[in-house]
Amino acid sequence: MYLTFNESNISFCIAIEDVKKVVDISSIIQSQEGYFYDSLPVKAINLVETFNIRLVNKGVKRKAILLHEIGDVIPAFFVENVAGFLKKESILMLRKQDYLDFYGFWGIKEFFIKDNVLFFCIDSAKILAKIGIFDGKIKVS
Amino acid sequence: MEKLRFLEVVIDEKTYLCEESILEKVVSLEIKDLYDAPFGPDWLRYLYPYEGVIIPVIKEHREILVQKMYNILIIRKFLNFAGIIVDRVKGFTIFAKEIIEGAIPAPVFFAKKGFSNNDKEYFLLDIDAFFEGKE
Repeated sequence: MYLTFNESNISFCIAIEDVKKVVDISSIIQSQEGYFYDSLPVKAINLVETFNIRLVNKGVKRKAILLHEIGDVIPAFFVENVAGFLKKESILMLRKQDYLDFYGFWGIKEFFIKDNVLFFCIDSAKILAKIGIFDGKIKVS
Repeated sequence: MEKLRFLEVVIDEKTYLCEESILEKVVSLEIKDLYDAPFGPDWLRYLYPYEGVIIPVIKEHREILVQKMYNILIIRKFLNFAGIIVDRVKGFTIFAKEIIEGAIPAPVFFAKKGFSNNDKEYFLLDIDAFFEGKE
């Protein structure tokens, strides 16, 4: 099962196993020390910056997709909207060619097309590693 | 004398030769058949589903005159595919191997070497660097 969501007019998806919870952005507490959910610190991943998305449509972030904690920190995507769920059986996955990693697609695992929309499936492990969350620790930058 | 066969294409008023061994096919597509590439370098404009993979479609040159269809040269090296938007496909052409071997370095997008023949410049399409991430 995949969770699909929109960010900057791009349709992304993420495997449901990687997701801890989807919450309304208003459930995230913002303080001087950063973001918190349920008293745990949240490290927000900015997809626009992470992927260097070209045409940025600055939409309002409505949802937070919380990934499983690493240490006691919750990695999260703040996104414009969550679209829904798709069963693996209902889509035909399109392979990503490895060399595309050189051209900014390293955080994408594969693709699929549904209703003429191309979905970019996120490889959350690679994104976490890229932004410095790995081995159960958060790299202090 | 050994002869080599190439597909001759025109990109941005330059004539490129595509070695037959890396040529997968030439397709003519409408813009609606392509998906925008939202990230990556500027010349990686579109994505196209082909044979179960998503292939990048490169359009290095500036806007072609208003065109409904794009000619896309699909090239293949082992399991890697890429598409290049070309302005014109001129057909197959044959050159003597020694002419090709005499090509000299040319700093042109996706061509490492070029040569002149009968007062015309040709660039040899070289996609190895692209697949290796060296633009």
